[in-house]
Parts: sequence; C-alpha cells; structure tokens
Amino acid sequence: MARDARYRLRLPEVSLESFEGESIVIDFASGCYYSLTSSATEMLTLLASGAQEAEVLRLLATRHPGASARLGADLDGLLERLLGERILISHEGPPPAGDQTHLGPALAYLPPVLERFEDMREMLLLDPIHELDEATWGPTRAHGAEPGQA
Amino acid sequence: MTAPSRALRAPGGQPVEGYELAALAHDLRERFAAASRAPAAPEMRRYRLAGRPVAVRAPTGTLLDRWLWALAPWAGAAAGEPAELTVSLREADADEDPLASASSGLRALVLQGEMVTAGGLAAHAHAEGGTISLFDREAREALVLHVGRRPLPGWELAAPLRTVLHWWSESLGAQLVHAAGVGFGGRGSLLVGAGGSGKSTTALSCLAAGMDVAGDDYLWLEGEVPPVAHALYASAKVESARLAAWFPSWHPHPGGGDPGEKQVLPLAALAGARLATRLSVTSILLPRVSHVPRPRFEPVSPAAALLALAPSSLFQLPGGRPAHLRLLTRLVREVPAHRLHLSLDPLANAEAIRGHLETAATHGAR
Repeated sequence: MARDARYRLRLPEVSLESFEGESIVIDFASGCYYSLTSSATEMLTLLASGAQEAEVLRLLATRHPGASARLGADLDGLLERLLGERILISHEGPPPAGDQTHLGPALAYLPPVLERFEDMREMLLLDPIHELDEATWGPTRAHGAEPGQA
Repeated sequence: MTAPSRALRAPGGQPVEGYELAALAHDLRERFAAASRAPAAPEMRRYRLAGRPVAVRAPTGTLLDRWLWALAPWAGAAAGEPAELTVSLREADADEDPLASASSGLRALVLQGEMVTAGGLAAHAHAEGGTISLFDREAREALVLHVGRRPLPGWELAAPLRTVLHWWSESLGAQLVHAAGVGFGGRGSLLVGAGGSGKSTTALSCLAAGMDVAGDDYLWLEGEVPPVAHALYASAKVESARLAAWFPSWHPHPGGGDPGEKQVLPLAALAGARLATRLSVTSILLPRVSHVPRPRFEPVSPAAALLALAPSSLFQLPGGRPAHLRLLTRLVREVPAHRLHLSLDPLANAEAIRGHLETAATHGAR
C-alpha cells in the first residue's frame, strides 16, 4: 500500500488544541467535541500537519519501536474515525504551510483513543450562525448548520 | 451590489441577504429612538462592567430596576466618563411587531433563534426568552427588545444582557466563561463544569464560609498574567431543595426565579463586601459530586480542564467560534487545574478550597 494520502483539519469549523499526550477537538459546525489520548494525539497532530500516512508511520515507529507491528492497524482505525467524524478531510498537493509540528517527548505507547461528546450538540444546532458577506451582502457560510445546508 | 451566487435560505426557504439585517437594524434603532422621545424622559444608568463604563437606557427606571437588578452592584460609573458600550432596552407593546420591517426570510431566521451577522452587526433572538438582541460592533451600541406577553424569564433576570456582553467581550479580546468564581484577597479559583456538577452550590458554600464570590454562572475573562475574571452578575441559581437544606436562612430574589426551576439568589445582599469585583485566577477546579467523606483534590491535565470549560462556555452563547478557544486554551495552560471531589458537608468543601488557595498562594510567593 502506498500510503501517500495527505489530510488536513476541516478548517475553520474544527479546532485542535494539543497538550502533552492529550488533544481536544471541537467541531463548531456539528457541536460535537472530542478527547484524544495516548498515541491518538501524536497521530492526529502529524496527520493534521499534512504528513503522508507513510511518514506518520515512520515517525511513530522511531518514537515507539516496540509497537511498530501494530502501528499500521492502529493508524487505520483512528484515521477511519477521524474521516468519519469529518475532523480530517483529504488534502491534495503539498502539505499546507504552517507551524512546525511539535510532538513533545515520546510517552509509552498506548493504542489510540478517541472519545466523542455530543452533550452540547443540541444547543449549537439551535443557534447556528448565518454570516452574510459585507462586500456582496450575500451569504458566506453558516456555522452550526448540518453539512449540505447553507 | 453584486447578487449573491448562492442565497442563504431561511427555514421557510426564503433567501436572506446582508442588507436586510442592516435595514432591520436601522428600523429597530428608529423604534428605540422614537420610544426615547416619548413624553416620559428615558432613564439612563451607568455601570462599570469588567472595569469599563457602560451606559444603559430604558423608557422607565422601573424597567431597569426589574431587568438589571443583577447588575446593580456595578452601577455608578462616573457621569462624565464616555461609555464604552451603550445599551438600549425596550419592552415591545403587546400589539407591536418588532420584525415588521424584516423580510420574511430574515424574520424566519431570527424567530427561530438563529444568529445572523453582517458588516459588524449581529442579531440574535432568544425565542423562549422573548428577547431580540442587536449589536453594532463599530458603534459599540446594543439594542435589546423584550417581546411577547410573558415576563422576562428567570435566567435572563439572573444573567441580563448576556448575549450583548458576550459580543462586546469578543470585540475586546476578552471572553465570557461558564464558571463560578470564589476566593479571597483578590485571588481565586474558577469552578467549572456542566450543569449539575456542583458549581453553584460550591460557590454558595464558599460564601457561607466567609469567602469572596464573583458569581456562580458567567464571568468575564481577560487574558492578563495571571488571568483575571471579572464579576458580571450578582446572582446565583440554586435548586429549591438544596436551598432549603443547605442555606435555609437565604431567600430568593423576589420574582427572580421560574416556578419549578432553580431559585435565583441576590448575591449582593448575601455577600455584601464579599462580592468580589475581580479575581486573579490562580486555580481551576472541576467539582464533582462524589459524596466522599472528606473533600479531595486530584490534579487534572490542561486538556481535562479545557474539556470541562470550553464546550459549555462556547456553545451556550450564540456565535461560539474557533477564535474564542484561544483565551481558554491559554488559561488552562497557565493555571493549574484539579478535580474537586465534593463531600456532603458544604462547609468542609469550602474550607478545602480555602486551604487549596492558601497553599497555592504560599507556593506562588516563594
């Protein structure tokens, strides 16, 4: 498998805040938010920086040599969920320019964990934002609207 | 004017364009101005909110007294000081249609409680509360209209003008946070967590134990070093059963609560001088009703603190955006956070927080 695909965060709707070993993702469009722990933080940080899947696996194998046999399956499982939740979307072309990725010190490898919370979802869907463009006085986009809505 | 290539559509399918919001804003301003020219001279009150002078106009002092009682302790900004925000309040007549000039599409959006922004204007209606808020970022002017025959709901009276203050804080790089503030000597903790986590009861327990309180639900956060939380509302909400059991000598604000909902307490009357105007935030506490024999602190990560603080702060106010996360992220990176496992003894919980803050102050002074 080539594993040459690249991804990026679904900006500006999705925000990612990473701390040592943990990340919080907030989807301002859906009202869902997520907690990622252990290797999921490393994987998402690398994927969101535009690294190809193969690069992610290579870097993780360097940081966690004892876990190299399972990294591929773990990455596939997490990636499926990140794409399914539309936290990440496909990115064509070279990696997007941005800050250099900092992973922090390598911690003991634990399988990726992505926890989803939707207790605020109903609140957000009651309150979508409709932005109207100042120049054209026409619509730009609506935060909080379901995909497919204006 | 360039025609939009893809129309924003209201729930009924009608297209909406930005100039419609500008037209509605103009119409509402005219209506407010007309009301202020009525025979009875409009009332003007000055407040100091988050350290900044704010002027509020209303047709009568009675309306101001009723609507803004929770802001009363902050009344009294100097008359000659130019207001940094001017808010006009009105109650619509029973037969008045405040959205008469709005297009059907905009009308549908607003009446569904959706936020519409364009060209520095923001509009939002709270259908359940019967309020329509309009904010002009450049003019630093806001209009809030109460419509309908029902009285203002208890939650609006406990936290008046919340939507407008949220928009204003955003324009200044500050942020309203869903948190209670407790402490002493100008330093304190933010109590954060979803409804039912014990935030309000813990704040009231601290008050009963002689500590300072800056509010139980919403605070204005400034990104200073250390971060500063300003009090906004001299009110606290507590369940009726908990009020009777734990704070039997305290009485709710008359007309402040809704039947079957939480009671609203007048913090200014209860706290007196212990109503804190601002607190330097030295810790974040995540209360949990654990019913442990003695309250216990458990360190939590910045990510856990952000998880407790950010979603309810960002999603309970209209227009939560990714940019609003920055100040909260900075807060949790700078300030240590602990989960506070609450005991069944409110005073023991409060004393534990006092000890926690004293320890933090001692360590910070070294």
